[in-house]
Amino acid sequence: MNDPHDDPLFDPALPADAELGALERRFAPLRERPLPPLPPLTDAAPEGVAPRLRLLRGGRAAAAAVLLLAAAAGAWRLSIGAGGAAGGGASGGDASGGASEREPRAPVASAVEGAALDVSLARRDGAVRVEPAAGGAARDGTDPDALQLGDRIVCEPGGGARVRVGAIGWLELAERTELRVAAGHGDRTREGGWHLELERGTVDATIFAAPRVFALGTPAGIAVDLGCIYRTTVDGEGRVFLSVVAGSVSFESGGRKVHVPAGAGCRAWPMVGPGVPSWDDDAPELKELLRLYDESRLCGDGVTAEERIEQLLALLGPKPAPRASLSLWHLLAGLAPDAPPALRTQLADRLAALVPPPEKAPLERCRSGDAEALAEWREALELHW
Amino acid sequence: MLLSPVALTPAIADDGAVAGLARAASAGDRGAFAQLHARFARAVRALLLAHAPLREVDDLLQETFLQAWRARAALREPDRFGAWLFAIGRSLAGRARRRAPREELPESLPAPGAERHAQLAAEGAEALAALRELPEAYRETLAMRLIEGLSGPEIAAATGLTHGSVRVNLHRGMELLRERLHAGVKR
Repeated sequence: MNDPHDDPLFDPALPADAELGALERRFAPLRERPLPPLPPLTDAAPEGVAPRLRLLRGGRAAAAAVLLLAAAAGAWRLSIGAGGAAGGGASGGDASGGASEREPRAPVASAVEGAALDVSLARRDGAVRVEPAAGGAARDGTDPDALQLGDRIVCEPGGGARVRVGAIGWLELAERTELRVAAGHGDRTREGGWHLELERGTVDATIFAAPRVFALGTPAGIAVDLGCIYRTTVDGEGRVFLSVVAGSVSFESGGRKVHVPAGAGCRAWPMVGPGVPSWDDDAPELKELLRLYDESRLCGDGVTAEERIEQLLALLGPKPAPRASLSLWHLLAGLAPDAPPALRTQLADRLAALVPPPEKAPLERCRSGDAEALAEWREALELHW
Repeated sequence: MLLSPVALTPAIADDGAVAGLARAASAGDRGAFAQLHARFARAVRALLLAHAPLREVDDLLQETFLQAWRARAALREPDRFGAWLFAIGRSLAGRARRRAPREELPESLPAPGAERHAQLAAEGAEALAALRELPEAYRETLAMRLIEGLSGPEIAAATGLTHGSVRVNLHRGMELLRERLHAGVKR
């Protein structure tokens, strides 16, 4: 090996030999890329809040999205710069049953504060129509006209459309989809900027925005965007399936918040809200047990929650991968207040075997269902999600 | 408010300052954390380039620092800030890799349109693919040296490895990388 004082591999200030120089030149395009800046350091963590910076994540993201990333990131950073508080203190939230004192603000604006909502039908394929809010003749949707509050876009069989949402992204509507422009103020620097309601069908949302600026309502809960790409489907009975490709979504209903990161999905039911999320590549048996567990909250199936959780834990085995904590944490945080303490302890202990809770969230507090401690634990677990 | 990147990236000097900065950052000092970012961003980007899908590297770089900030109270050994930060980066990169098993490497390399740059991009992608086949220790060390241009002492300061270990990693990694690139040329 070379002398350390005559080793250009160890000391780049020394003249490189031909081979090393050639390699350095090959890597130059990577080296010359500018470093992204330090992100805004929100104090979200102590509040149990998880600001998401991921503008794009996941191998399934289309190449086109990569090309859009730079422009979108610029817009997003501008948004943060102008209104960082919107993306910080209000994002994420604890995903438990909602008993916390830190119950976040309502996810969307309840009233329109400004006129420039800036939503438009950017593309129409086949049979698409726009039903205006206050009666009158339906527009044919051939022009990319601005959509008004209350307008409903209807994609008939064989139809499809793209809806542009301000400068923060777009929605792709599949056939047999109905989407309504429900609320918002059109300001990308504040939460509640846009709220659209998916009444039925399938929407692929691609949003580059600070957390909670965009929300997609469904009959079974509101998918609050934390900066991401996701698919939401509502079937004829209002049941929802949400699948996240990039970033993460907070699926919320009645104070309950379910965190769905990229690569995971979650079902939801009207009157019940979101269930327990699972990874796309989880075993089908596990997904089926989770579905049965969730549906039993809607109507009992003769199997108790304890029995179902026993089945789940048995299926997971004594030492599952840490990412199994996604489902386990939501099972624990979603237990009813009157759930048997032994069941709560069993879940907490199994979860702790995967990833121990942080110091400031002692296991005893987590076992007792302390919402604040559970939120702290989730912060630590997110490293594995 | 966004913190601006520093114009000149300070070296990750083994000057004892890192521990002090890490201690201050751990107590909530944003300025200290910004200085740590300035010192470590290139090393972390190299680590991410060694592990994560290329298209996600910049995003993951920001997320690594954000996660570190959020977990600052858990930093128990300020003098090992680099190793702690890299552990976060590796974890995030691993998750990203699991989600993106396939990758078209040249996709986000710069300079579409210019023939010369396109050629450089393709060569860089090939070299990066070969580098990523190396064992982890060699891969990370070489990425810091060849991609980000860190010196051996800087790599040692960032990773907590001894100078000797860094030299061994660099030279053994170089040998393996050379073999792989030559094998690629023959194919």
